[in-house]
Amino acid sequence: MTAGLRYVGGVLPRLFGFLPLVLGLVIWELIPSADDSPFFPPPSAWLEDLRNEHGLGEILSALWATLRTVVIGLLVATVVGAVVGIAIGFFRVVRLSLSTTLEFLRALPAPVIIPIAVLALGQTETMKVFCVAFASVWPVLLNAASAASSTTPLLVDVGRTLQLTRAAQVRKIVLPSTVPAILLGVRVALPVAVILTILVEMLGSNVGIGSLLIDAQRAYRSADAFGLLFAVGIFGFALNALFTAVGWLFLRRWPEGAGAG
Amino acid sequence: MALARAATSRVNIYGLVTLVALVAIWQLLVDGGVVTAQYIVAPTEVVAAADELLASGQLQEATLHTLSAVLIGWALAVVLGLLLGCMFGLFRAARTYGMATVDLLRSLPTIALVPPAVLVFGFSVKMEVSVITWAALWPILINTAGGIAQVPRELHDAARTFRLSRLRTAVSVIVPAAMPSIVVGARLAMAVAVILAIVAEMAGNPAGLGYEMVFAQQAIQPADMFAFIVTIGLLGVVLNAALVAATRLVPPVAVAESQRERR
Repeated sequence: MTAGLRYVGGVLPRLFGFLPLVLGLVIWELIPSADDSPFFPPPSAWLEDLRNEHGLGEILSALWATLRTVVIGLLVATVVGAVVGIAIGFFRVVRLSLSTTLEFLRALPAPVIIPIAVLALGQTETMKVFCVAFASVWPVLLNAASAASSTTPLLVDVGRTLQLTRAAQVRKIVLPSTVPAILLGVRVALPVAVILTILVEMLGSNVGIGSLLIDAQRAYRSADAFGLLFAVGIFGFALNALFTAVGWLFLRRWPEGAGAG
Repeated sequence: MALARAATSRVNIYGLVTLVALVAIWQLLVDGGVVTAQYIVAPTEVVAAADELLASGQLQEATLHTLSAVLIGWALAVVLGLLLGCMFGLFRAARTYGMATVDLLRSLPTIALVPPAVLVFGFSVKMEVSVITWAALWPILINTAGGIAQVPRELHDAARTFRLSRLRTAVSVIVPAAMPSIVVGARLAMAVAVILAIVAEMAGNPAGLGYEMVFAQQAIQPADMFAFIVTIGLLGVVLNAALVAATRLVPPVAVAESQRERR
């Protein structure tokens, strides 16, 4: 009973929080001049255009293609980032050798990888996944490295006392203690992965929500572009919520304080 | 003495050697004919291309365009983000009736804003700045509001003891105490601003480094393309370094805190 009340008490303010957004959209809809401006189509026109131009099926299949690239790219980034990150955090020589190069690569705005990848790999699915993975690997890698280098000394000593090999130390002690930090890195990487995927789709591919967006822009279909923007917004929000839920399920039973990072 | 030691220890010999070795290996692989991929050019060719682009003024023009878009967009985001962040941080009502909207809007992938922005503003620097400001606004807003929320209770109590007005409390106690977090937000926003400028130029406004880079790729001029890519990387590094230097101007406590919070 009380738990239920508390639940309602927690959700209601969050719903109230959408008030400015709803108000803004309603005002936009009601401004009389909005009707004849070709570039500020009212929200009702967005949905109408979405239905007329694409239909739900096309939008869903485009979002599915985008989702697939995002997820595969993130998976690659997670594996590579975790392995390299732990190596960097655990072995001092590796850290010193790679840090300057990594600092530059990290500061490099990720979209610049796209033209290189297009020249080297062509307009392929591999190219897309490579770009997304390249852009999203840095948060994972850096988080894994900092967590691996700050593994609780006591745990490292336990491994040494039990005379585990270096490999076994990494597998049994360092890796488990970096998992929460790695997941945090993936969380940070998620929006980057979405941005890169849509950008790659905009630049000369014909699948995914990005290609629909750029088509709408080139054909000067304003209401369509706003409608797709709306769809992408829901997509991004849902993806974020989904990842939060997955991370929570995964870390629910993780031992307290294991994530030193 | 300690200063000298700090300076030498900051130069990472292994790191520099690795970087130089990587570039040398790249050069040797191309020279030795090991890598014959048509689109992989040697570092020397990239330098030559950059030299040519500098001589024609193309590189400077593009850099200036991108830099000004980034700085204008970022500055607007700082002003707006500070104002909105203070509003959300200081007034509970604003949080209750607005925070969910902020969370929804900031999870919108900014790249999707480019096509509507092109239709509304045309192919112009205005469109770039609007996209940059939108994207850079959120880290500053969130960090300002979050920083204000984490101001220790004792400071509030101290302000009350001195009978400061609410406005005076906000201006001379709360916002300065939240400064470390705001500085971090401003740095995150700068990184976002650079990325969005490049993205907006790649997918929208045909000007600046992002556009020139994609144009060189489509014209199959890999040497030019790499020259623009290196310039973009340097721009990112320099802007970040400039911001780090600028943060030394804010009170020392704030700098220490912001350094600590860097990943």
